[in-house]
This record gives sequence, C-alpha cells and structure tokens, in this order.
Amino acid sequence: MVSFFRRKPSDAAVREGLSQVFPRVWRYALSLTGSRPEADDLAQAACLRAMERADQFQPDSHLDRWVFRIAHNLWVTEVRHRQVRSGNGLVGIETAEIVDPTQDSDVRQERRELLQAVLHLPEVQRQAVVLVYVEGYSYRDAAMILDVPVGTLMSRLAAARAVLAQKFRTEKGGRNAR
Amino acid sequence: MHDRYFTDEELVAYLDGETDFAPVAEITAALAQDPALQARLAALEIDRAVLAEGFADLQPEAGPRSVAVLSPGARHGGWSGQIADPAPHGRAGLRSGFWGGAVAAALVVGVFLGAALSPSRDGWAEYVAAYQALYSNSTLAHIDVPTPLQQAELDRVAASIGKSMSVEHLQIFPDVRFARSQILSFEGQPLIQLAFLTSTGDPLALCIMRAEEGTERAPELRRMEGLSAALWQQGGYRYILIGGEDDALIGRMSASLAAMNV
Repeated sequence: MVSFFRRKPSDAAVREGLSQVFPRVWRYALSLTGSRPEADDLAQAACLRAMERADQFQPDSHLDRWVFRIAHNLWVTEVRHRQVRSGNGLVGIETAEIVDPTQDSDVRQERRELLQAVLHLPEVQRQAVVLVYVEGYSYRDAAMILDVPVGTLMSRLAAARAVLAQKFRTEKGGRNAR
Repeated sequence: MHDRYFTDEELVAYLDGETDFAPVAEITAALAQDPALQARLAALEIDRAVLAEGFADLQPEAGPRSVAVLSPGARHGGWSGQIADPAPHGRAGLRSGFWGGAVAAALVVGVFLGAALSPSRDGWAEYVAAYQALYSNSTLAHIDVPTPLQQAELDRVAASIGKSMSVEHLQIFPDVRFARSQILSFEGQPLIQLAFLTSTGDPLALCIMRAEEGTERAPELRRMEGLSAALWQQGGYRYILIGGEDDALIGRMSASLAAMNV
C-alpha cells in the first residue's frame, strides 16, 4: 500500500522538508532536462515519489540527498528514455531558453556563458559538476546520489574541469581585453 | 624533484579540498618545486563561486495561482466545507509551463505540506486534491498496461475497500484513457485512486473511499487546488473525480460514473 497518507515521523520529515528542497531539485532537473517545463515535471515527479515513499526515508538522514537521488533515478529510468523516444533527448541546451536574456548585464552575460559551458558538457559530467560545484555536495555524497563509485565521479569532474577551466581563462582574457 | 605522477583526478580533488581522495602533502610539496605541475594545476582552476552564481540565476517562475492558493482564505473544510476557486487566473498547459512555472509547483508542494500537517484540514477530499496537484501528465504518460492486467490490478485495488469494479466502465470515455489503479490510505483507511490521462495531457483521478454515513449525494462540481472536481456519495462510498480544468468534462464523467454506480 502506498503510504502517502500515513502519519509517521518520516512522513512529517519529508513533508516539512520538501518545499525547501524543491528549488534545488528543480535546478538539478533543469540541468538534466534543459527545459523549464521538463524540469517542472521531473522535480514535481520527484516530490511525488518522495511523498509516496516517505516511509523509506530515515528522519535522521539528509532529505535533500534522498530527493536528489530520487530525481536522478527518475531521470535515468524514466524521463530520459521518454525524451529520447520523443526526439527531445539530444537537443542541445541553450541558456537563452532558460535564462531571461533581457536582464543581462556584462557580469550576468559572463555567468551565462559559463552556465552555457556547463550545460554543454556531456551529461554525466554535467551531473557531477552541478552536484559538486553548484550544490556543494562532497564527492562521497555526489557519488551516492549518482550511484557511481567515487573514482568514476572524480574522472567525470576532472574531464569537466579541463573544459570549464579553459572557458574560465577565456572569459577572464576577454574581460581583461575590454 | 618528486618522482610521483599525479593524475588529473588527484589534482582536482586537491583543488576541491577533498583530502580523502588527494595526496595533499605530496602535491603541496611537489608544487613548491615543479613549474609543470603548477601549470597543470592552473589549467584545472575554476571559480566555483562564479559557477554557483550562474546557476543561482536559474529560478523557477512564480505563478499567480500559487499566491492565491497560499493565502489563508484559500483554506477550507473537507467534504461538506465550502471550497473556493483558488485559481482565478487558470492554469497553463502542462507542457507550456506547469501552472505558470515551478515556483508555483514548489508552492503547491508547500500548500500540500500545510494541508497534510494542519489538523483543521482533515477532509479526505482535500488530501486527494493536494495529492492530485502534484501530478503532471508525465506521471502517467508512460503507463500503458494491457486491459487484462488492468482488470487484475483493479480487482486487487477495489477489494481493499470491498468493491468489485470493471475496467470497461472506466474505458468508455472518449479522449480519456484509464491508466492505472493504486491503493492509498487516509488516516488508516484504504482509499483507492484510479488514474486517467486526457488526450490534452491532463491527469485525472477518481478516488473512492468507504463512507462513514449513508447519505446519498449527487455529483457536485467544485474547484479544489485549482483543479476541476466532482464529489458525490453513493452506495456507501464517497467519490471524488478531480483533475485538469475542464469543468464540463468532469461534469460529464462524474454523471456517467454515478449513473453506472461504479
């Protein structure tokens, strides 16, 4: 039986914490899906799944990591397949679609270009970068969320760092040249 | 000179302060005397703060519905309570912007949390509505179960509330596909949820629970959590059909379901 409505301590912990976790999970979902509507759906589905499985949550553990893992698993097992099947899975992510360009100052423009660089990374590298460098998870926690060995996570981060560092140097050079 | 080659992974872990995964002392010592290593490290440098700031620009959009839903006046009683329309501006299509954006979705979660925790909102219908508000079309879109399996699932689910139901009665609606059935619970009592998906992508749910008293009530249309809903009571069971914004559809479906005494 789905335990969504049962009153248990783990249920309360999930209910109380979900609204705070949601914006972060949504942002991760956006980095995975590349579109706001898809991110809405994925983050929403992750919350729904978390509520349905609230009795599996350990109240003394970290809700955010648990919900991130749920979102990641949903993406891997369900949403990504549907996107690919529907022809949307290989579309390049453009920040113009997800960030309002009319608000751009120079600084924001630079941030946007870096954001673009992250979003253009291969998916597995993008996941690692967002979890570790944006969300601030430790290597161990990020590896747990992604369900990969820490060594695999480190390889993905190293590959991503080489690309992003190049982008950072370009950005810095561009600013200095202005 | 040092004779140890450090991998990029180790150097990145060193930069990230992940001391369990980097030979920190060795790298630090080597850096003092190895310009090539210094160059390799520099080639992996990024400003994490700038990166995080870039992502901080990515925010879910706010939607007008969420504000209305969150206002204290939008909270009402259960089955017999008056339920106002908390979505005066309507809802955008799911694919074209989920209720005007994900902050709205986040706030719906917040509303749901409030609903679930508030002792004043103990009506089963409101729990159902808050639960349904979390559904998107993608929740159900991938579910495609053959009819015989649907019937077997429905038999098991319906038995939990002492009912016997036929899938055929749930498949008579044009442009509405019966997707699945599952058992939920409300305050320890079983509550069954039969989920549908409309051709326009709206998830609908028919939820049924045993009634505590025998009064019969014909389907009555409401708006709950911004969703079209019909509530009725029949044959010792309480029913709610909810989802989307098409009041006419919910009206037609609820009338048919009541007429069939599903």
